[in-house]
Amino acid sequence: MAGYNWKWGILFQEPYLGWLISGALTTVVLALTSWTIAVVMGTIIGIGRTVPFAPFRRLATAYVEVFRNIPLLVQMFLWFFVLPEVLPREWGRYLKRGVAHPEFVSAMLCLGFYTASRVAEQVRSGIQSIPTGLSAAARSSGMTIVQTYRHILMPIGWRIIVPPMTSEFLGIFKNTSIALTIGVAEITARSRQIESYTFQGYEAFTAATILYLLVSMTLLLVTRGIEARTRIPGMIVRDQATNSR
Amino acid sequence: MNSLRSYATQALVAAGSLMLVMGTPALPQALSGTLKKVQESKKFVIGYREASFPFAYYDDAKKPVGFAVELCTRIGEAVKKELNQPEIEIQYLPVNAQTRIPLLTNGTIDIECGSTTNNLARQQQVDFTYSFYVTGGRLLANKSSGIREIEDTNGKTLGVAPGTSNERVLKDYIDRLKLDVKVVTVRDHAEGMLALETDRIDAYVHDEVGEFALLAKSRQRDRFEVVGRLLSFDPYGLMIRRNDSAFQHVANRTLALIYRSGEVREMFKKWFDPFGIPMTEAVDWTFKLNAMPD
Repeated sequence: MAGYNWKWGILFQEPYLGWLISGALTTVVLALTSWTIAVVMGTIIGIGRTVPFAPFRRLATAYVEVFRNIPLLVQMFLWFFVLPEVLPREWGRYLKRGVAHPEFVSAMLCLGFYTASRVAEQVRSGIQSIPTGLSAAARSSGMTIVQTYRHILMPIGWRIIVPPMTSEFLGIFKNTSIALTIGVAEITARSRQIESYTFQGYEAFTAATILYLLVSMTLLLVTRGIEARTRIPGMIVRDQATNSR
Repeated sequence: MNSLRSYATQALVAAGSLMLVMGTPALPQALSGTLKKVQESKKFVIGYREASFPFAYYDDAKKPVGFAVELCTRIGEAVKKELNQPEIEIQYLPVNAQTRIPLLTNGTIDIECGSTTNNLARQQQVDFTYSFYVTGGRLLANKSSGIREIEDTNGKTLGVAPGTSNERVLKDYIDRLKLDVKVVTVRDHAEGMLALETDRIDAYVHDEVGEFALLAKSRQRDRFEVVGRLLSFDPYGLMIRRNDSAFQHVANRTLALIYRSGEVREMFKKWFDPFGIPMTEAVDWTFKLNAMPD
């Protein structure tokens, strides 16, 4: 870049440093809260897709197809702009004015509901990858369906899907950047803001890249530990178990 | 790294030849910067904003038009004449707030046309032509909100686009007047208008000229009103690369001619009247001040 005037110092000046920090915090809080929604709902819906009651299964399948197939950007817009208009007047007004940070709440629900559909698919594949002999044995030894899920299928299924869940978790961090379209001041929005104030866009976006990288690497370390602890020897990670560290 | 070094070498050579030129005025004028680039590539590329009404936007045929686009096109014509190369082609390329700086500094576009505020912080990265228009932030308020001035916004919710000079100005006012205002950030001005129409905010803070443009396009325009005094001073300039005084001179000379001949007032009628944007005292003075004598 011949004509570009580099000024890395801008990243360490106020208010820009403060913006980056608050942006990073917003990203982390948004990702964690929506991940909580996603895991709770995704587990229920994932189980719903495997239970032996057709109406539950159909309902769960419908949920997954709707939320997985509408682009996240469109969903964000629907949650923020359309939902308050179709709800009863008072509720809509509360969503728009009553909540402390309407854009954050909309983004959290949107990311949570969207990621729930993806988590549900992981949960379903985890449960379905367990040999049917196990649940048959549980049922024939007198366990109810609820007991079978609680004591046999879920403990094994959950441990099998830890690795793909790690990537879903990283995915939700990256997807938080879409929340900027409805005005959430997360990392990407903050770097754009710095770009716009100072015209030092390369520095700002480099900072954002490094922050995303730091968050991802930290998460990767944590989840790798969890993976090592929860893996069931001989169940899905056979080759890793034999050449294990 | 290699290219960095070659840029450094080029810069040294350029600096050296510049000194040579300055030291020996008898030599024919050596071109540099944008003029040299246009002469070699035979194209002059105008970067335009796609929704900066009435400065740069698309007409019904999806062609970039507007007050600033017309000024830039005239500058392109002047460059052709300056280089005495009528075969130079004027090209148009859409840019946005994120791409305008990279595309200008890496030479993809030669000038940016839109509604970019010329300020001192930005001048460390780019240069600007004369300020071709001046405006400032005002309040676009819901009539039922009772807001007439910034002082009336206590307890209200205001919207602003992040990163704009208006955001900075709004925060200043809130601190200074100790107002209890809830500030909602929106992605862009279209969403700001949507937030106003759907009652998310009581008023939107934006450049006056942009507010008139938003109103002109709104289907619910009777519910809203531009109110209050100017909260800031925003001179708009056409953005060009830094340290390129030869091209800057051609651009400013072109602007001065348009402003001096009074043609600018015809252009104002053509582009601003359809949006119902009134002539302000500040704009009138800008038109007078830009009429630099030859």
